[in-house]
Amino acid sequence: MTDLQRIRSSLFCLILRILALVLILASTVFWIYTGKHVGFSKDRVEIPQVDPITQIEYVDYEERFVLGVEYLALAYGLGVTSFGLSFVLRQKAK
Amino acid sequence: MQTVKTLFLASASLCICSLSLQAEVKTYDFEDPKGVNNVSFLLDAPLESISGNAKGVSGIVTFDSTNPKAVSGTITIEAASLTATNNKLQEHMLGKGWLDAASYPEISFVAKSVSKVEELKDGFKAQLTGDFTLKGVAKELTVPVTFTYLPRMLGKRSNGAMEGDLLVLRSTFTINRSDYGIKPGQNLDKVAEEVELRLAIAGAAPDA
Repeated sequence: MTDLQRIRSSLFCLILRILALVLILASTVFWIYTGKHVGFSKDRVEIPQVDPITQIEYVDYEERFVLGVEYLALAYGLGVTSFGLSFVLRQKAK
Repeated sequence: MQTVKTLFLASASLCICSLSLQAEVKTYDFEDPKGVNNVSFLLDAPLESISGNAKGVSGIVTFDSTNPKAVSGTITIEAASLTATNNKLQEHMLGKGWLDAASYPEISFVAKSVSKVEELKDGFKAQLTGDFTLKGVAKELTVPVTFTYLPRMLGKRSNGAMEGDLLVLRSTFTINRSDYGIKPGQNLDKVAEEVELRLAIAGAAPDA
């Protein structure tokens, strides 16, 4: 393997690791930002209300996306795969 | 002459009594433009329970505050008004495989009889028997119901637009989805067989 190929391979491994880090960090930050919801994603959020006359409890919906753990798990999975792949490729380059 | 007078007075008081009793029987309309009336549903599923709400409630109930056993009427829920927090879940729930809201647009309860009436401070607690219809299947159910009678509160609720009484109905009961032909024996690992329904609705009886 030439020096140029070695540099290219190292660069590719670095990109994969950065990608892994970005995926894991971005998904975690977005998950925290949208409410740290430990469940499936929501397309609307329930806002509990109480009617002052009848005392009936009801919900109004706010149209807002809340990231669920299924997307978080997917992002973590892709991140870990990308990170692992970078090591495999590095070994091959050596 | 005395006997005629007594008879006249007795019949007059009977008339007044029957009129006042008649006045207690009122018809409550549960159509709610404020969007407060709701039926929520809750069922177990892996990771988290599935819950949602329906606001398309309508119906007429005749209620006598002095004789709650005489209650009658129908409450209808528009199936398409069932809302879940996830679009995909809602699509599945209303789709052909589950509730098939397009073919069965209404879920209803027709009251037939009332038993075990217990008086409360501002209403009654009772067991209400009626026909519950879901996905075209009608089954007789007996459910616990609380009637809260709010006399002269309609004016306050409608900001003075109408005067009259309010009747609040509350009930929580459980049904088995397979009893109503909703994927009987299927998807039990994903969605529980038992579905809890919570009803909290208010009807208005405006003054004539």
